[in-house]
Amino acid sequence: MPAERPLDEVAARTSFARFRVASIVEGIALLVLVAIMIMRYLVFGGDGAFTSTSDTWTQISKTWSPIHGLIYMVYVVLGFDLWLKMRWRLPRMLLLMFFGVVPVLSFFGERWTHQKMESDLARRPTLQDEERV
Amino acid sequence: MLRVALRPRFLGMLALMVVATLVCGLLAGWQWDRAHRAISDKADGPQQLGEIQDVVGVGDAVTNEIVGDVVTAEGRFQPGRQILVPGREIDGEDAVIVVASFLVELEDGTEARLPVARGWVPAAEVTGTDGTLDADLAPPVPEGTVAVSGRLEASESASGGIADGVAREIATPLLVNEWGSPMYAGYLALDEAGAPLHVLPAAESEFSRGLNWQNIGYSFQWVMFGGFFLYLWWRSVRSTYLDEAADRREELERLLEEADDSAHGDRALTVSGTGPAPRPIPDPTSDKDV
Repeated sequence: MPAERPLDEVAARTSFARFRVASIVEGIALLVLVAIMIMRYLVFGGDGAFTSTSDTWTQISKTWSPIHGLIYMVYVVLGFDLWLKMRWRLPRMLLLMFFGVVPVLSFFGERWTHQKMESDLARRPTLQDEERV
Repeated sequence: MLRVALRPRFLGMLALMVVATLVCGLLAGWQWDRAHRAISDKADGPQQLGEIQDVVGVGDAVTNEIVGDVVTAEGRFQPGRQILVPGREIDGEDAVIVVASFLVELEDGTEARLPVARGWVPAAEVTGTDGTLDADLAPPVPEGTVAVSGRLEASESASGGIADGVAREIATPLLVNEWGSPMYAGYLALDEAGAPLHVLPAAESEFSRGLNWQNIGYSFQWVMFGGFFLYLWWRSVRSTYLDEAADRREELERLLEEADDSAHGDRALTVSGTGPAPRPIPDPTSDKDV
């Protein structure tokens, strides 16, 4: 088992700040998407599954879906950046991606990620250790 | 690096990532098919679907599956109730479409109205002396029971109403107010138009235009996601390999230093006291690759 390489604490914290914003934006965007889906398929639902009687909500949904998709991609890229800086293992990257697709979970996922980052920065050597001494 | 990649932990991860990539590949294929659906569905040109009563119910939607296909109907035109739809440009001319009410007898003996676009005429031919369009100037409908054949088209979406027999669109929600119900939800664009009418070109929609670029875009996004999973795996292998290589190098440097110290003990002390630090300071910019 190799010794743990030092982390760049400044870079990691910068990445996390970006990831935190992305988490919150993605969480809100996903809730908006869920609300639109409820309006489109439940409130104005047609007879069959996944049919709608409201052209307005269908149009709103068609506009928001790709925007939300783009926001999610940005979220994944920023999560990937943090994952690289923290030298985490592969499963944690999949977990970060998963946080973004379950409504509300990204808000808690962001706090959980913050805790993991803090404990890792406290436990592992960092490039900034020498300056602090 | 290969030896790192072949460790059980990384092989297991690779299997997981390959599955994820395959799923993304399937989703990409699904979007790709959807993008090309209209092309493959209508590749053979319009099909003959037979009598309208067997194709679509009164009031039922004209779906993408049957739109543009040819159906036949037998019945009679209602005289004096034609609607003009102006504002179209066909073959470079200012065209007016002539739409008539056609009564089709249903199996239960009742009659349903089918809007029939008989064809188009240049705007000048149906413009009265006062400069406004006049539906009475349109060619009169044939009398008695006739058989018609034409493309089944979906109703256009209405933007206004019908005033003095003139409408902006061939929209059944408008026509039903003018002619009464029950009415078919689509309209028939006749194959043959008797002079002075000209045959209408096929109606266009997002669907009939073929390639759906939005679905093409989604398809590429899935490919990107699939590639991202493999990239993640490769990235894990690479950073593990580089970490271990860096560990070995540091260990070697430490050993060399020790050997050096024990060989020239006095000099080493002097150097470390006056000169720069012998150990290289890690470069903070290369945080990923060390």
